[in-house]
Amino acid sequence: MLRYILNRMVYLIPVLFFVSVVVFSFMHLIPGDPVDYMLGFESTPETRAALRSELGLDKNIVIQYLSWSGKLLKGDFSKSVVSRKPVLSTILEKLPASILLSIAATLISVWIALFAGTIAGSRRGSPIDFLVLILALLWVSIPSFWLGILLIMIFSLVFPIFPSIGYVNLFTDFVRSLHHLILPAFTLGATMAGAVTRMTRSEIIEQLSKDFVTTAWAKGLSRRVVIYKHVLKNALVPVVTFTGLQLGTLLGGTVVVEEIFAWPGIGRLVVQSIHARDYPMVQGIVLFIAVIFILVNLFVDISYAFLNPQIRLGSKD
Amino acid sequence: MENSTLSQAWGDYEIKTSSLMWKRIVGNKMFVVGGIVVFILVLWAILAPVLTQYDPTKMDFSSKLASPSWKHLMGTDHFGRDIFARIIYGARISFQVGIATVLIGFVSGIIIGAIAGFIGGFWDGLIMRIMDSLLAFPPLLLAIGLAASMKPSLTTVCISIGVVYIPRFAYVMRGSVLVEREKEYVEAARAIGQSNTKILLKHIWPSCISPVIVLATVIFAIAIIAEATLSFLGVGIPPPAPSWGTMLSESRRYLSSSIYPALFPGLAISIAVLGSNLLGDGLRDILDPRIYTKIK
Repeated sequence: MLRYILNRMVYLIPVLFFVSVVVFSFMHLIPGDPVDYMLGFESTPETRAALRSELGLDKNIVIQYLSWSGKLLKGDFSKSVVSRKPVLSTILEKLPASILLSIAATLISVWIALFAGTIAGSRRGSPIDFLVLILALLWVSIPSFWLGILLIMIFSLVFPIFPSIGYVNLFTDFVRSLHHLILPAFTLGATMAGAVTRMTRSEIIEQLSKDFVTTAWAKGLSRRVVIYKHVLKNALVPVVTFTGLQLGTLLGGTVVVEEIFAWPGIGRLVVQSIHARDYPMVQGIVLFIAVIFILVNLFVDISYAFLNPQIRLGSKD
Repeated sequence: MENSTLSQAWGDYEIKTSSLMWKRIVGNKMFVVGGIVVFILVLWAILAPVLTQYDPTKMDFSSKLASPSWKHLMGTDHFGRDIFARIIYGARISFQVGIATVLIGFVSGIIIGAIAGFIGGFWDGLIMRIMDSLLAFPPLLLAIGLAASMKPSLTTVCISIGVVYIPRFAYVMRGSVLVEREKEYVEAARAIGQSNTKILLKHIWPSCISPVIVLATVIFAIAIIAEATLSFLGVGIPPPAPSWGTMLSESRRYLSSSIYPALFPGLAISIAVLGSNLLGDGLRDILDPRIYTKIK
């Protein structure tokens, strides 16, 4: 197991290197002079020269990359062009709001998926199964930003039950925080729920064909006990792993959902930074999220290997 | 004598692959429904100038935020532009992006995947680590980062989304090539002196293409949503181009006055993506390698 973990971590080194190269290249894809683009033509030559020097853009590209990546390794993600605050501290300031939204969305997604997927899988071929499949396909097809707009229309304008914008810290006012959280979390979670529902349904169908289920039926156990106590428990491992792997979809979705609901997380921050042409901030956020994504995938891989001996024993070959 | 027995046996053993394949295509409800939906939308996009008299970018402040009527089938937006016209011209943008994105990802991905899978060893490792680094980003975030760094245009959007999905095509192609290269027909081709290039292009490639084609339909649907998302966030196709995402973004400020500028673009995106998803799911079932055979 330790060897498997070390193998996976060593494999990450070239991946992290290439990730840093991709993020580094963002600044150099900008047409023309990136400093002029960021500061605009109203800025003075002195300001432009100072920023060029700060970002290392007056040096050779290889030196630029080495200097930039060297600073990254020390935790220096450079400074925001707009606020002049360190990028990393700004990201960490906004991170809790995004984490809260992501956790709430994942919980909603998993609950919807487990409920719908179990009912559909245990009644394969029935009208309920067909309905769940259609709904799951619809959930996958509806863009999250449209769903968010529809929910705002219905639950904030027509029936003013939930606020359309705003964030309250969970520890400041728990009830108000949940009240503001429901619409954005549902929007984000529903987007993921379609894919996870289909996965849950497939796993339930597969588990129902196993010998232990035949034994359970033969013993005269009730349908509820067979499905919820035996089948669902076995189906949960791949479903949870799949949910973990949906993190990429979730992180991309937070950018859009935070923008719609004015949720002050890192997703909204990246959109604001793009419009403000704050490229050090954009680079910092994208790199930060990519590293989180890589680490979470590593954790999911290791957890799955821990739960499934075939994976870790297979790696020895 | 023996030859006539063999030919008779072969004659008795009739493989109706092509007719059975046709039956599978028309019998697969998802493929048929998805195909019809996508066909209708493509037809709309092509026949846009015929289907509407309105210029999708022409403003008419005298009829802004109008409700649906015979004059404006889906109403008008905050600039008085006909929403129906913008929807069907927007279909052109969505399908252009979908097709271009798939082509970029498909062509690049299958070349990279085929080379990596066939050569193996150090180069396979290096190429796939580069692919892994692109996969390490949440797809939408990488597309946003790339699109925001370049000059906003249709080309930028196509490249940004296409590049993001190259690794997926590469991995699927590589997986298929790894399986095929170990098969006996490849060994036989090597034994008769065929070059690696010929083996790859003539023998291995055709056997590996089916799963990549299925992936292409999935990526097509994703590309439509991705373009709409980029435009919604303001880093996609710039206004006044009638991108469905831009239409949705602009509609937010006027929700309390009129729901139609938000309703119809969202419906259009959902229907286009649903049709593409159904087409992809159906195609996956049809291209299942277990081909029917029939013995007389």
